[in-house]
Amino acid sequence: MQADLSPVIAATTQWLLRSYPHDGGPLGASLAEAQARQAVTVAAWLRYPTATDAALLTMAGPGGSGRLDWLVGSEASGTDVADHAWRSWVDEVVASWAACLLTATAAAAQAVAHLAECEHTGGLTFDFRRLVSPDDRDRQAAVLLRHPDLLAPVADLHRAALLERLAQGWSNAA
Amino acid sequence: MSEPRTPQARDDKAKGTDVVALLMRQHGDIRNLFDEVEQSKGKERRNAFHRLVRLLAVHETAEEEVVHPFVRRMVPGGEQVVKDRLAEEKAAKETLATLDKMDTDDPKFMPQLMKLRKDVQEHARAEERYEFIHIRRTTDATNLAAMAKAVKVAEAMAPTHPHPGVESLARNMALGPVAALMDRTKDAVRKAMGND
Repeated sequence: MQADLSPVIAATTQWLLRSYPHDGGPLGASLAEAQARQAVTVAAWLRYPTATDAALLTMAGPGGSGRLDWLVGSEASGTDVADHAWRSWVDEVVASWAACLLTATAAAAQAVAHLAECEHTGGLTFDFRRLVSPDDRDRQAAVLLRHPDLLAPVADLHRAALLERLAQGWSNAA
Repeated sequence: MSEPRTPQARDDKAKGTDVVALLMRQHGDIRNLFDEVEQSKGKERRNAFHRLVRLLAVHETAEEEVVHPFVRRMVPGGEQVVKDRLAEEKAAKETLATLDKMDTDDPKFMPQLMKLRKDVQEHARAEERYEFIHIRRTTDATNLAAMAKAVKVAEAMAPTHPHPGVESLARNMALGPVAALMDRTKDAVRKAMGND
């Protein structure tokens, strides 16, 4: 089976955007989405760095947004089947790590530097500029999404594990 | 009225192993969305414009994330090629920011949209000529696929079907984080594979 992190990345990105929405036009919404997507991609690649990790996640399931929804006081899930569907693909650890990266650009730069150790990059270099060096327009679009106080409850959940991963490298940390 | 063109995660039927084919498909989708915005009115135009803005942002982010680092390193004169593409994007970004503040039924909207379309089309042609051709010439299938994977991640919408392992809302709520389970499973697999 081709292990594919994209459903988990897309769903976890959507959870961050719904929880910390952009209040403005379509351009701001798209720029916020791009930043959240980059943070979640980096977090997911670090959390599940090998094809084996990704295959295990696909098999076991990412766990869903249950505890995250409770934590941020989201009433959105309710009994809506469509809402429940995408929320079942949310990964709590990836969301927490992405929250850490969005609120600390130094950690984001460090995390991107560690991506060379992940199989997903195929040895190529990727530039996550919107995450690591957001310009004024990016920052304006992500006022809530990058607010350290607002994201703290989510970031704090698994911050220690992220710092450990960044300090040790993935091959020694798991 | 056509459905949104950006695919849901895993559901894209485009060939997923060639980053140039994917980016060319995005160019086609952008052209179609410009047509759709021009040919519609009211709520439909607003919806089409929102999809166009999202796809432009997705495409530009994918270029910046995936294409430009590769061109800088692998294409002769790559630094200048990327610099020229960024300069082209700057004009389009300004026009897009102006459009973003306007109502789509404003009489000034269409002239601005035409200006954006011209800028975007010229930029797309330059990408195809100065970047995509060189990527195809200098890249093996493995790298084309790795870049394609990153572009697909950058554009996918969230799934509309639940994870197969989750049958009910109650189960989703009860499972909570699988962090501990994942760590234990990974440990077991790595030990079994003799990686520790």
